[in-house]
Formats: sequence, structure tokens, C-alpha cells
Amino acid sequence: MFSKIYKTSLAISLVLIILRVFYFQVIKGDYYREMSLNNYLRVLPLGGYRGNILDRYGRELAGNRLSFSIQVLPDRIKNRNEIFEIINREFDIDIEDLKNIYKLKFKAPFAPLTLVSDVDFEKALFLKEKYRNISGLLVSENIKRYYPNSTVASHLLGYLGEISEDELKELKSYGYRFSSYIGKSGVEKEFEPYLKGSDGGMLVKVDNQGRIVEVLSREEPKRGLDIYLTIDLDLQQRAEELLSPYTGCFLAMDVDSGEVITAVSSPNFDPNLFISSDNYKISQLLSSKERPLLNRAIQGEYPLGSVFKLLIAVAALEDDVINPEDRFFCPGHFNYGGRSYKCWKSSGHDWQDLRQAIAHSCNIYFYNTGLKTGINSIAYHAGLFGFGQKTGVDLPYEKDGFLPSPDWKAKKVKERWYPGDTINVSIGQGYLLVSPMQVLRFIAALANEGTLLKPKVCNSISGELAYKREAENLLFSVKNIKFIKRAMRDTVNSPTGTGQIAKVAPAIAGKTGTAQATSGKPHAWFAGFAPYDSPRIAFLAFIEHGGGGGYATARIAKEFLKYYYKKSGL
Amino acid sequence: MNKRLDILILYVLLIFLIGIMNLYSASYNFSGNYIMRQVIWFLISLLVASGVSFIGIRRILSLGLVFYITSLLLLIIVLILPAEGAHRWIKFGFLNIQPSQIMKFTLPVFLVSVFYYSNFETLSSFIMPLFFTLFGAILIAKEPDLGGSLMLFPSVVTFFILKKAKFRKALPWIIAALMTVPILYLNFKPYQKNRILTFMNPQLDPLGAGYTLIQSKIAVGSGNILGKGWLNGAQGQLRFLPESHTDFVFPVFAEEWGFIGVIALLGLYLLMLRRMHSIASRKKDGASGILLNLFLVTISVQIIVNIGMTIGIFPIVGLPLPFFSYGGSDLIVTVVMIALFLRDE
Repeated sequence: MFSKIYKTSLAISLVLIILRVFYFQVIKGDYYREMSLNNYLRVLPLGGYRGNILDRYGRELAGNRLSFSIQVLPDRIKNRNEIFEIINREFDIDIEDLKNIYKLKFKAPFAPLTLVSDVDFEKALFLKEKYRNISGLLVSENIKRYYPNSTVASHLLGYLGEISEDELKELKSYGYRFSSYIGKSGVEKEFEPYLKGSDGGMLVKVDNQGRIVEVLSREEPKRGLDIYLTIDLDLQQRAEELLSPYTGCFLAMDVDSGEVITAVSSPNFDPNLFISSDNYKISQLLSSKERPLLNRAIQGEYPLGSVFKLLIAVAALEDDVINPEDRFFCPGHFNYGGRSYKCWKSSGHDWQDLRQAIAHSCNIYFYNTGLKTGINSIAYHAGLFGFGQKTGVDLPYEKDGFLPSPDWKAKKVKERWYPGDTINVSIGQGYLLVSPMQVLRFIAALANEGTLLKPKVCNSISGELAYKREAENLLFSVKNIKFIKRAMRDTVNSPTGTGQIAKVAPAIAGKTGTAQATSGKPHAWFAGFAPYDSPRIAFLAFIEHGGGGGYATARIAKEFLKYYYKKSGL
Repeated sequence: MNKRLDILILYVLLIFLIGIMNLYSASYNFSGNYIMRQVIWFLISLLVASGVSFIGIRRILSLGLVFYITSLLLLIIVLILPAEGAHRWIKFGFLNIQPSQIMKFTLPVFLVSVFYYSNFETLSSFIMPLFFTLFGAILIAKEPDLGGSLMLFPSVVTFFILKKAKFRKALPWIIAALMTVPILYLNFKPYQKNRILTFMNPQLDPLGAGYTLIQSKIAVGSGNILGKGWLNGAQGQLRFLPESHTDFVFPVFAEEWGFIGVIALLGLYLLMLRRMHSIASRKKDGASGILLNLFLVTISVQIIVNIGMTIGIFPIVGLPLPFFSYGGSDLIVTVVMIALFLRDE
């Protein structure tokens, strides 16, 4: 009896063992082999770092610096509270906060998680020595983005942020990983593929303590390409100073090439903040009513006001509906269809010809001219100059403004186009919305007498010329444009011109604008080119709710040009 | 001492050699020369075995009570001696002996020598052997060494079966004993409870008690059909597998030699056990036949349970794999048992 029991039990046990081992080794063998590889093979990323962003003379606008941070490896932590207590002791960070940070940032057990970033060099070395035996805690050094001029050119440069889950899904095959930083706006975003560089890594064999036993292979990280911008850092800084008290923007562009030499949007921000992971300050920035992250130069959409009168003038002259010598009487108001439309000067301008009307920015003259020209011609010519379309500047998130037309109104507002609408458009009010960059290239096209340029902020990528002049010849009558340019010179230089504040030698030409805002004080514009005799740059100053007459904007333009002249030896 | 030159010797030597090779791999990255020490233990066990073999089974059986009392004393001493952690070893310099392993040998001897003539028809004839077994088991469990403690029961159960005991008489007792299991469970150390719980679900505690089982399964599974080759098992070499030189040597072997290797090893063990079984069955002397069968069952259970626990069939109880795990006491006891099979009387 015993023999039977023994043999049967032994047989059953052996069969069970063999089946079980067969299941593990043969059926699930690949699964366990994979598990085994995951166990002991680790890829340690060696972060590549971004290329620099430089101004047109090679001065650094964005670079890299060494940074230390306190990280934890979740799957190596033996005692989480001990680690929290250490950090609490060394950095005076509340333990509850640390727990929250941990919860918030935890992505996977093997993904290092940063608890304290940007630790001072001395302290980092000290902690590295003191706590080297704490399992799961590490002081890591990495290379971080650094913007040496802090807020200068911030909108142009943009900022970096941790890659989002959606972005990661899309970009994983390009070497992005958890906690990769990626350009979120500006040049950082637009030129991300060039700037990024590539991560290297080490394939290592580790033991059960995570200690490296053997380095199996190693690939060096690579730095991204350098981006040279068309911006002149000196001019940029000067413009930022001038604009800093206001909300608005200041732009300057080379009238022959379309290179953007200065691009300021105010208020600005410090892109370094986004690297610091100071979430409180970042969220403050994101929720600020002043919208400091908005690049007003390309994302702002505003009524243009009187600067648009230059376009009306172009359209009217091209259509030959007026002669420059034709005069209209300005009594300070204009009656049409039972309504009264005012001139900004309530006492009136008396008789005005085109040149005077531009210099004095007389509304009545342009009400008449606009009606004569008609909305279709106005919209056509505005379209030729690129209103209502993106300028195609090499920056992300550009807005296209809005150019109204009778068709649009019939379709969307379900109303016909009234002459009153044309009257409003004639002085740049009504449905028309423009971005400052559109206005800038319109002015540049006047300055160069008929070439519409695509604005560019990138000059070259790692020395390879990336910049390509893209321009469209508009085939306007040069005679007409020259006439308008002269009128713009008068605006600044005649004793009665509205832009006299901007008077500077050598002479410049410009046009003021006051645009009624939906609420608050009107927006102030001043756009022009310099020097008048041989135009080199077009410029534009815009202040949100800057008040009437364009005084503040004209003053900014003048101060900027003084600096520009001095710098270029003019 | 008329010894038989039996094929059993070949099987044992073969298993031991493979075991040594495997131990070399399992302890490859360890400091301390485990191979040297294991070989010394083997030589010592041969000495002890030839001594025991010289004495002979019959005379050994007459010493049953002495053996049992000595073993109990050793178990008590080991509990009294100061120790870090578990009280399992009595240290004599580099020689550490484990009384629980010795009990594995002495209890069968004691049972056969004292209770051979019991009729196993009355209740008391069941109670006495069970009582002495339990007494030893409790002392061992106190060390704590759950595996060593449980290893005493196959002997006593086998003894009853071989003596054609009338189990119906014992049924109430067996039921009563089973009812004490929950009470026993409550008295387990937390880590022992953990082991049983994580045996049922390893994912409960992947970094604690479940860790060993998970790593063990990975080691076995990643061996696939052909294995990773000798000294190439990452789980064992890189220390992901705890106790890879003692209780968990089998996964090291399975990882490096694969399914083919496992079948070969099980085949060898099976050949060894078959040979032992046929020798034990042929014994004319009833008492020594029974004793050899108790040894046979003890060794069989140890092989099955050790391998079974590494692949999740049994809870992890801490038992060495005969001729594979590093450890002197177990090796000596196993070799002595085998030696008695070779003694022709």
C-alpha cells in the first residue's frame, strides 16, 4: 500500500512541477525573459542640450548652464518619510508640500522625479556626500536652458515647458521622453527640431541595488544647432526700456529684406521662470490679467485707426477716384444718411488736400475719399498689402486679423453693407482688425515703394543661412506711393503735423493713429520709416489704451530712432 | 562493513557535482568561498556516513531514544544561545551545525525504534508518536524555521502508513489537529504570515515577501527552453534573486539550463529516488526497511517542496534542495541517510 501511495504522490508532484516549469519557461518564456531584461538592463539617458539662440551679431539670447537638482527614484526608495524629512531639514520645504509634489510629478516607478530643482552648487556637493547612502535619493546635475538677459526679447524667444502627454505621444519617436523640456512658444517652439539636439544614453547592467555593474554601450549626447536671429540686442534692449511702462509693442524691420530688427511686446516675462519649475509664479504669470505671455506684435488683433488712412489713400489714388490736389472741406463733422460723423478736431481742418489730410489726419477728408473709393476697392487693396492674412513670420501662433467685406457681412451678420460701414473703415474703425506685424510690413511696403515682405526673425541656423528674402512686388504706381511718403514726412516734420513729437534728424516719415477701443481709452499707434531720404527701417509703436493723438507712441519712436541713428552712424 | 557498490552512488555523485557547479554560479559574485566549504562539508559527511554505516542500521535503531533526547537538547541549546535574528545554528568556529536538520534524521530513527511494536489500533498508540513529533516541531518552529519544522511530519505520517495504522481511530484527532491550524497561524511571526499570504498572491507585496517569488519566477521563466548558459543567469548573478545559494538554488539552475536542464535534473532525482525506493522495499528486516522508507520520503518531500516553492506551488518555507543548496548540516544528514541505503545487512 505504501509503495502505491508513494509512487502516485511522487508522480503527481513531478508532473505538477514539470507542467509549471513548462508554463514558465516555454509558454511564458518570452514574457519572463523580457521581465528579466527589464530587471537588469537600464537605459540612463544622457541629456542632449539645446542650441543657443543668438542675436544678429552672435550675442547670446538663450544659452545653457549647469544646474543641480534633488531627485528621487521611486522604485529605489526604502523609506519615503526619511527622504522627505531630509529635504525638509535641508531646504525648509514643508513635508506636506513634498508629498504633494511627489504625487503630482510621479509618472512611473523608474522615472526619476525632481523634488527640488536648481540647488546651489556648493550645497549640491555637500548633500551628495552627506546622503550618498540613502537609497533612492540622488543629487543630479543637468544642463538647463538659461536666458542671460532675463526678460529681454522674451516673446520672441518664447519659453520651454515640460512635455505634455499629448506631445509625448506624438514626439516619442523623435527622442523625447518623460520630463523632456520642449519649446512652447516663440523661437524655442518654431525652431524646436533644430534647437533640440539629441539625447545620448548608456545601456547599463545593474544589480538588484541599482548599482551599475557594467556599461554595455554609450552614446554621447549632442547639442542642438544655434539659431542666429535677425534681432539687434542693443536696439531690442533700448525699445524694451522705452516701452516698459506701457502695454503694447514696438517693432522695427529692415525695409529691403524683411528682417525683424526689434520686436518688443509689453508686458514681458522672464523665460527663466519656466525652467525653475516655480509653479506658483508660473501660474501667476499664466493667469495675469495683463496677459504678459501674449505676443501682441503677432497675436494682438486691434482696430488700426488713422494709420489705415494711408491704405485708403493708396486705393483712392490707384483707382484714380481722387487727385492729390482735390480738396474737401472739414467743418469738424460729416453728415451722411441722417448721421453725423466727427473729425477728431472738432473745430475742423477747413479745406484739406490729400497731403494735408494725411499730415493732419483729417477724418472728414477720408470719409469722403473712402465713400468715393468704395468698400470693394478698399478691401481689395488692403488684401494686397496683406491685411486679414498672417504675415508668415517664422513664429508660432500668429493671428490673421480681420478684413471685413460686404460678402462677409451678408453671410455672417446677415445684413447688407451700409455706407456707414465704409465710413468707419475709412478711418480704420469698424470691423477691421489688424495685428501690429501686418501694419509694420504695410509701412515697409510703402517705404520700399511696392514690395511686400515676409517678416523674418531667423537669420541663420548654425551658420547656414536659413533666411531667405520672400517678397512680392505689388506693382503700384510709384508716383502715388512717393506722394503718400511725402505726406508721411509732413506728418512728422510740418509744424501742424500730428506726429511732430517724433521729429528727429535725419528726417523720418510716419503716421499717427488713434483707434477707439471697445472699452477704456483708445489705442495709440505710430508707424513710419526712416530715414526719409533713403529708407532703411520701418517701425511701429503701439500702446493699448495709449490715448489720443499718438503722443506716447511718437515719443517712443523718436527715442528709439535717436538711438538707432547714433548706432548706425546716421 | 560489507558495502554495496550500488548505482545509487553514481546518481548521488552526479547530482552533487551538478549541484557544486550550480553553486559555483549561484555564489559567483559572493565573497567567501562557498565551493571550497561545500566540498569540505561533503568530505566531512563522507566521514560521518562511513562511521554511521559502520555502526549499522540495527545498532542505530537501538539508539533511537538517545538520538531523540540529544536532538531535543541541541534544539533547546540553540534557542538559548544568543543569536542575531534566527536561532538556527550552533557555531563551532567555521562549522555551524543546524539541530533542526539533525532532527530530520533522528526523529525517524526514534519513531521506528520506540514505536515499531505498537499496534496502532488504540488512540494512545497514535498520540505518543504524534506528541514526540510535535514537541520537536514546535521547538524548531520557535527558532524560527518553519520548513525544518514541517519536514518532521512526512516521517510520522509515513510511519503510520507503513505500520498499516487504523486511521479511523485517529480521525477525531486529525480533525482536532486541523482545527488548531488557525490558532497556529495566529502564532506565526508576521513574516511567516506574509509569506503565506503572498504565496496566495505575490503581487500583494512586490518589494517585500512577494519579491522573492516574483524574482524566482522571472529567473525560472527567463531560462526558456535552452537556458542562458552556465554563469550567465542574470537574476542569480546580479543578485535579484535572494538566497540564490541556499533555498533558491533551483531558479539559478533553471535560468541557466532552461527547460531541458530542469527535465534532466528531475530525471536524475527520479532515478535516485527509484533506486532508494527499490532498496528500501527489498529490506527483509521490517524495522530497517521502514526507517529507509522514512528517509526516502523525507528526501523526496524536501526535493518536491523546495522546487515547488520556487515556482509558486508551495508557500516559501525555507528548505534546502538536497545536494544543491549550500549548507553543511543538511548535506551531512542527507549523505548519512543515503549511506544507510548502501549498507547491506
